[in-house]
Formats: sequence, structure tokens, C-alpha cells
Amino acid sequence: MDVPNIIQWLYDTSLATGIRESFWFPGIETFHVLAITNVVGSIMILDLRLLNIASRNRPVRELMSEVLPWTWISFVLAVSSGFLLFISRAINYYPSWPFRVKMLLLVFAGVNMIFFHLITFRDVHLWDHEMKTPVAARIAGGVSLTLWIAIIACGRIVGWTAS
Amino acid sequence: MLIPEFCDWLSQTRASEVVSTVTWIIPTTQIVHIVCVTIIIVPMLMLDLRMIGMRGTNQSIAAMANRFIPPIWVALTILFLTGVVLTIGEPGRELLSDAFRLKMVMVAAVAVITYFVQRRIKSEPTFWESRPGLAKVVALVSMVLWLSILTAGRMIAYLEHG
Repeated sequence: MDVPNIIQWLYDTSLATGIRESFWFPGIETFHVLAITNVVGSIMILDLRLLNIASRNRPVRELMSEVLPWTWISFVLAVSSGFLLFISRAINYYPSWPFRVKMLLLVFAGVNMIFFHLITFRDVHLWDHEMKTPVAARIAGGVSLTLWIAIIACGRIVGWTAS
Repeated sequence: MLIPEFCDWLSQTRASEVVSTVTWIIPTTQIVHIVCVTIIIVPMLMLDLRMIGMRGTNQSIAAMANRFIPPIWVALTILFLTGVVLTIGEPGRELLSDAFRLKMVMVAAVAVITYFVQRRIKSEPTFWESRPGLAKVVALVSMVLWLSILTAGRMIAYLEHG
């Protein structure tokens, strides 16, 4: 079974049909927007700290342990609701370029995060309390902030172009 | 002048024509609008949960509010301005919609509450810690309002033709 067939099969499931043809779609979409604002809003707090713009007197690790659980819970909720929205209009979303760009940007955001955690974060004990973070941390924050705003923009464009 | 007449008048202005016919204006404005919602929601929910006593109790309410509330006013101002642009572009879609009207009432209410929270802290930094009951009620109302505002905002688009 190739990808277009899987997409068609997802689209034809009774779950997808049920969402598509009912008030579930706006409901799930509202929930998705709420989840995304929570994902991005919480990541922004951390990005702005890494960029030396906000929360400068708070240790980076403390801020991370406060913010990241929030981010991950919201992310799981955003992906689940996003999946339900996706299958309900899979044949429209799958070929749409804003949707594909959004998925690609999500991968980039993931790579940026992994790079930050595995490499830049290793010597965090040296700059945890510093108001001025190292260049690599600032780059990670800036890249993350830019990517997530672009992801929101793409998500909004998907709504106009592929439904 | 009643609201429907005002909508007719507004939709015939040059400004409305520009906003609604130049393709990029409404989409870009909506994206800026939603990014500002993103900036507001998490700090607001964190502060509300802190006031309820469920989170971040290692920081004082005043420290958290002083960190979070000032940027929220900036984001709210941008939300208001982008909202005005969207309304100028499609007056009927917004001003005649129940979801929009309810949203505006809730925005006004939550702005007053947020100002009140900030104001009390200014005159007495431990105001909310010393009144945990009042803090819980205020925070709960604020949370419910923010979530309802977001939902009402999304519903404007769905109830457009209803």
C-alpha cells in the first residue's frame, strides 16, 4: 500500500468522516489552536531566556524544568488533535504545500532541539545563572523562535488554502 | 447610528476597501494576531495557576506578575490594533457576530481583572498571598475568560454564515 492509498483510507474511515461532517471539526480545531498556543507560548519563554531578552535573573535549568513539562503535555495534545484534523481532510492536506512546509519546519524544530540538548546544553552548569548566555544557546533560541512562528503561520495558511 | 448602518458605512470606506482587497493584509494580520494570542496564553495561565496555588510556589506572585504582566499589555495592544484592522476589512463579519460581541465583553472583563491584579501588587506586594481565597476566585475567572476568548475567536469564523 503506497502513501496516497493510506491517505485515502484514513480519509474514508468512519472516524475521519464523522469529524468532517459534524461539529467535531471546529471543536477539535479550537482545541488544537489552544494546544499550539501552549506549545509555542511556553517554548517562547525559554527561547527569550536563551536570547537574553526575558527572565534573565532566572537560572536556565530551573526555568526549563518549570516550562518544558508544560510544553510536552501541550505538544502531545497538539499532535493528537492535529492528527484527528488531518485524517478528516487528509486528501486535501496531504498534497498542500503549506501543510508540507509545516511538517518540515516541525522536523527542523526537533533537530534544533536535539542539537541544543545534546551539545549546547552539555556545559549548562557554566552559564546556568549567567544573564548572558553563550552564542550557541542564543542561536538555538533564535532559530526555535523563528521556526515556531513560521509553524503557526503555515498552520494558519493550511486553514485558508486546503479546506 | 446603529451597528448595521455603521458596518455599511465602514465597509464603504477607502480603508476597508484596501484591507479587504489587498490579498496579503488580512492573512498577515491574522497571523500576527494569533502569534500575540500565543504570547499571552501561557504566562497568563501560569500566573493564574500560581495564584490558585497549583504551580511555581517557589516564586512570589508579585515576582511572577512583574515578569509576565508588562509584556502581556504589549501583546494585548497589538491584538487590539490587528483586531481593528480585521474589523475594518470585514465589518459585518465581526461587528454583527454574537461570538465577536461576546468575545469583546470578555476581553474587556479580563483586561480589568489583569489591571486589578497588577494594581494591587503595586500597592502591596503580598496582597494576593495574604488573600488566598480572593486570589483563587480571580485567577479562576481569568483562566475561564482566556479560554473562552480563544474559543469565541475561533468560532467567529465558523458562525460567519450562520
